[in-house]
Amino acid sequence: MTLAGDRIRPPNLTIGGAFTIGQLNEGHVIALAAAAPTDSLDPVDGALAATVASEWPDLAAGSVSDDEIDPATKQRRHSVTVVRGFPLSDDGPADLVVMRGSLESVLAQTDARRGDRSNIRRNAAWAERHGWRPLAVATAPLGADGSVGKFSIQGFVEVGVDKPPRDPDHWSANWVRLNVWSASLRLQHWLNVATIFILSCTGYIIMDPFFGPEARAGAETGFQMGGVRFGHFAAAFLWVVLGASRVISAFVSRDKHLRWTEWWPLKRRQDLRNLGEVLQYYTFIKAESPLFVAHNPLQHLTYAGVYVACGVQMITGFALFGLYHPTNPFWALVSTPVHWFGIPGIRLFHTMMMFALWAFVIVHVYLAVRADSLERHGGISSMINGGVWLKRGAKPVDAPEI
Amino acid sequence: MSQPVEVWREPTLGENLTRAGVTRRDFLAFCGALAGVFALGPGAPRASAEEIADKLAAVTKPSVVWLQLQECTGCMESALRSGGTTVEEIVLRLLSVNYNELVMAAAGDAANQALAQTNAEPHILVVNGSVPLKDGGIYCTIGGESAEAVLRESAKNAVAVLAVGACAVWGSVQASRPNPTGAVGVDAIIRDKPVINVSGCPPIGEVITAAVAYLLAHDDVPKTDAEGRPLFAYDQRIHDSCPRRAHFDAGQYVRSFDDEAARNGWCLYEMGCKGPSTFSACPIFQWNMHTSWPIGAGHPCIGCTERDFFDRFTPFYQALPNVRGFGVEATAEKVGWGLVGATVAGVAVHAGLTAVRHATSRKAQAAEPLEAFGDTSSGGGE
Amino acid sequence: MAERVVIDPITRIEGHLRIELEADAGKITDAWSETTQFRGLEEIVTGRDPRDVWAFVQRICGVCTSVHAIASISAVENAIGSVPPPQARLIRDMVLASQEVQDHVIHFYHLHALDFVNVAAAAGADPAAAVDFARQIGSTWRGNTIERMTEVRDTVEAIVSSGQLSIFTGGYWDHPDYRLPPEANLMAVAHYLDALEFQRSMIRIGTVFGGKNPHPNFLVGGMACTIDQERSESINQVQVDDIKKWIAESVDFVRSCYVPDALAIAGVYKDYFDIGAAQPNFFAVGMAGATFAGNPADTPVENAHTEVEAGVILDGDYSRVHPFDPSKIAEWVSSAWYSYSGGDVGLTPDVGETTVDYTGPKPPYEWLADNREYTWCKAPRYDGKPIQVGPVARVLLAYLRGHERTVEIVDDAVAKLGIEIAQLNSTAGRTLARAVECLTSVEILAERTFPEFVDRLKKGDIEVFDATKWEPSSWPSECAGRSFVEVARGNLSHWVRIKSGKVSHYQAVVPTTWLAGGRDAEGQVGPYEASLAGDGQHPLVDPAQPLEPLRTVHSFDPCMSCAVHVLDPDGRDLAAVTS
Repeated sequence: MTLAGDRIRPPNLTIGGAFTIGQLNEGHVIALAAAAPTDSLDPVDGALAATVASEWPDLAAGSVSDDEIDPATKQRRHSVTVVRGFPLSDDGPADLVVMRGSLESVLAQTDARRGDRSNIRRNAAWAERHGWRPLAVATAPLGADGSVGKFSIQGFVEVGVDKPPRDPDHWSANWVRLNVWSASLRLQHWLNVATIFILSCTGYIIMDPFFGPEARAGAETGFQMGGVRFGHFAAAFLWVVLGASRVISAFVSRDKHLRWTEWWPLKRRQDLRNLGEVLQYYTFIKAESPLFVAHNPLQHLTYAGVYVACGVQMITGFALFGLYHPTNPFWALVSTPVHWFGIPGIRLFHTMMMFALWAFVIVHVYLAVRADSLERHGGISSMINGGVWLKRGAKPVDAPEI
Repeated sequence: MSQPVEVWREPTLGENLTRAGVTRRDFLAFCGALAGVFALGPGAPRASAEEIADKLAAVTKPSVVWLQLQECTGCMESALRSGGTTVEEIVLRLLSVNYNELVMAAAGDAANQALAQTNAEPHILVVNGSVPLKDGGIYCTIGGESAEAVLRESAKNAVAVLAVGACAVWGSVQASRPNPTGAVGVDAIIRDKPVINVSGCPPIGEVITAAVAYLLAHDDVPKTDAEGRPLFAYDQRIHDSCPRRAHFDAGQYVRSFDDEAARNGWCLYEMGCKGPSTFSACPIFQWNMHTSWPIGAGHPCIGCTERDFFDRFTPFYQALPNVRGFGVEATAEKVGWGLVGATVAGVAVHAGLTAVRHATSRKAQAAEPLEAFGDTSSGGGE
Repeated sequence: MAERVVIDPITRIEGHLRIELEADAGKITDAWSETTQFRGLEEIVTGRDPRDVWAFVQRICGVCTSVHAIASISAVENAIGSVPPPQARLIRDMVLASQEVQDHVIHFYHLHALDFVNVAAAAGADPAAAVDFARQIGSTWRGNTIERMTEVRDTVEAIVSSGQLSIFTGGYWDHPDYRLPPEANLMAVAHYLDALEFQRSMIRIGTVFGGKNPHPNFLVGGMACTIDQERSESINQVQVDDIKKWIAESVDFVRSCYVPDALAIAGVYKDYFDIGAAQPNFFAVGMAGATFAGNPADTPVENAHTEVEAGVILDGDYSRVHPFDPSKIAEWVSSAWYSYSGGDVGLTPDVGETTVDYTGPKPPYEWLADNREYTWCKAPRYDGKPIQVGPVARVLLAYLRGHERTVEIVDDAVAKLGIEIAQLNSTAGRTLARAVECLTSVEILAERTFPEFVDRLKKGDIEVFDATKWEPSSWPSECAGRSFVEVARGNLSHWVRIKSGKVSHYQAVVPTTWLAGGRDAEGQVGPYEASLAGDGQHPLVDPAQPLEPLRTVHSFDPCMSCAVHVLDPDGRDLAAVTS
């Protein structure tokens, strides 16, 4: 009996591909996973056998005997099968023991390294998000005396219910790390986080100095509000320097992600279509979004808006600060908006902008976490280390094929 | 910004007129027209044009037209209370205030004549009150003329224009939402000469009279800020020269009127004080001969020297104006937290939907039990 | 053939008033009172925070500053159920009293006196004779010295001889009806200047409590100024001493200067007790300063003016006082530039409505009175009758109600002048009543209000604010309130309706509206018009110098900015809500 029998291939089952982590390649893993009794009625077996027959016919050479199969049960969600004469390498056919089943069940039987475990789990989770069930495969050498060696994890096969068949070009799935964000941009990002945090806290207190009337007894309260305001002003100046450096880098940097052109993503008709698809993805109309290594068009637009909002915060803030120096021509110029809207109007605007930035931060953090947990691209860590993970063979919109 | 007040460069009107190119002959003709007006006291013989010309030529005091348009007379009342250069000093010694409705003796035609005569010469123009432009000016008429016409006529020969009080500066209360009469300030009408905006509702009496005295002392209009307010009274924010500023910086605030903090004179910021938004020398000059001033008497500043303060600075007892729109109105803090709350709720809903989607797709997988995963126990082991 | 005379502007008043007259043979035969300014403040306050509204409506008038603010906060307190502590009410009472005294003094000397005093004629007067004259009329004012009179005469002489008459330009100085001797004119001019000095000083009572004047600050629920004898940042003995001094100055000035001057002028111009009578109907809710947060009939009096109860005098019957019934008030717009949806009817203020409907000519114009509508001022009527408010109404009411001090002063004046009580309804009578009232007011301030305030302060009563009703969340979602205050020019009432923490309807019924209004649907003229043309006997010797009608108009102390207001177009019945 062979691994690629003419067992009935169930019409609703699809084999997506295999993720490999050990020494075996994708075909090996799928072929080993296909090891099953000839008369198996398991549709997965059927699907696997059909795939091996069509894609890797030369790997269908191994044999399995029915009495060397220990099938999966509800208690032990993996099967153990002895495969003999498997064309593992050019050295000739080999005999080995294949463990196949749910990832955690199989992993428990191996002593894979921590890094490998987390890698395979991430990939399995990614597959699951995309509607695949990962069928894990581990192998152990079979000794001449029939002793079974240590199981080592080899990867998993993607089994899909009601999934369209996989584009054959994408069979070789794997993760690739890309360095996207420059160190300077990351530094700016986190300095912005820090200054906006300080500005928000102090700004809120300036709007509503809620700290308690504990000084009511007449005790010395020092310079509470003075300190808060000093903090606000100091952070504001730092923020302006940051803003200025960002603007400068937008014009002088050679890094594409820093250039000012990034702030307006809608340069072609296709960009608009992509934006629409991203919007549909976020509103659950579409299950998949176009892939972007860096930012999607919605992000570009949002971040450009945030830059504008921050600029407005700086302008309004300094318009108010300039009121302390009415006789200084520079500060008088900076304070000009005050004459148009009145001081309370500017203060109100400044305050509402703060709340708007808070709202942005909430959505921003949520979507970052969400994207990373759904797509497993390491977007969050990329904000620190600059690299994202992409599937090999992925075709991002904003970069060449990986 | 400023331009010299030309007319009083020479000591007397005669010399000024000569300098301005007015001949004795023209002047005599003008004085002839005035002859009837200067008959002084009962039974006094009516003066000849010649006599009047001599008298007028020797004039040493600048003439003033002090209009009161659409307003409440609070600014004149404030001027009456000035303890610096007093109003009697201005009216009787420093200037010849030939037209002012509140204090002048003449009424009706005689008043209008006094106005026309003064308007004909170079003069200082002081304006209280706003100009209602809507519906052809029907909302304020004087002597049958619209306020706008009266103002334009008086401004023609004015060498300096002082807009005194919030009404004259921007329209004040009647120009507040919805401004039913279309009230505007003087500088919206008079655009060809600088208008000095002595702002406040009313301005401090001493500031009003000092603005006038400044003209005399300097032969020039005072230096002003970007809104035309004289620097000598409007260069400082109330907040920055407030005696309670130390309490602000220390974080000591009044939380409710008449509380312990209020009795100790702490900062009124939390009670909606508009000192941080208001340029005025109130804490420095104080009011009514240094008696007190609004914050000194425990009430938050309402910002009456600032444009549109009835709209921009209200509610008076809140630190920030309310956010308006879509027929609702709420405090900035409420709207801000509402925005944050709505965002959190939106994120929660989105996250929930994401989880539901995810669970659905898992369920779809689970709904198809697969032997290979041990979902069914068709195999040997139980 | 009747001659048409226009007096516009009427100067020495608050705001813009135009009088059109027809005169024949030195007598006025017909008159029209025309208010020519409109601002629409009540429309502007709609939708605002009721706690802010006092600041808006205070700007109705800067001459009678404070009074609209106090009426407003009282109406709002009535609506939301806030009860200001007694000390806050006493403080408001002191501010009101000081305002009233200052207002009357300013009116008499600076707005009215030049109708009787010939400034130009003071130039030639003998200072010693002026001092003598002052002594003769019983003026014990400390400014009656030869030095002071000389100084003033020199000032006047300098002005007259310079040819630059300043505010006296164009005055009717050669009018034959200036009757005072030169020394009396000089004394009057000296007192004119002293009164400026005086009002500047005493008005600081309002500054201590309200921080500024004009337009001091007030607070719904009490006062913002804290009082505490043991704290430097609160009003303490230092300010109490100041106020004591200013009140003493006020009593002195009114007694020794104002009242004797008013009596003297009334004596010289005694025929004016027969000139300028308006309809002999009067009403007031008490003496000057009486403040009610609610209907006077069922609201306890909240200040020192407890002795005189509200009442109405009708048809010149000075033997009885009718009870005051607010529901008998109706306003007509027959002669005003508004229209009512129900046609030309009288509407009570409760259901008042105002839609601007200007039918007059486009300015500039020469003559308005040919039109049926000629003014921005409505015509209020009580029980269908035109009615007088103000000092004369209050003095008559207090007199008829037997207020001892009023009776004493009035009896004394009437005896000295040899007139009847009924003659108080006249040009000179209104001016005299104002002086009488000023005296009783300043005495009540000095002898009752201020001592009670100090007494409470000594006992440690330092509360000035009711915080329980400050937050809008503590208010009913819908409520209505009103206030009645006797202010310098007469009875003032404010009406407010509050919905969801915002003003939904606001209305002020103002003294000058009662007086300056024009004709109603029945053709009854308003009090100004009646005083000028009621009997066809009002003199107007020289139409080019309309001195006599000015005297009569000024005797009402017109306040035109107050008089004109616009109501909420959605005005509905308030009566059912207030209680």
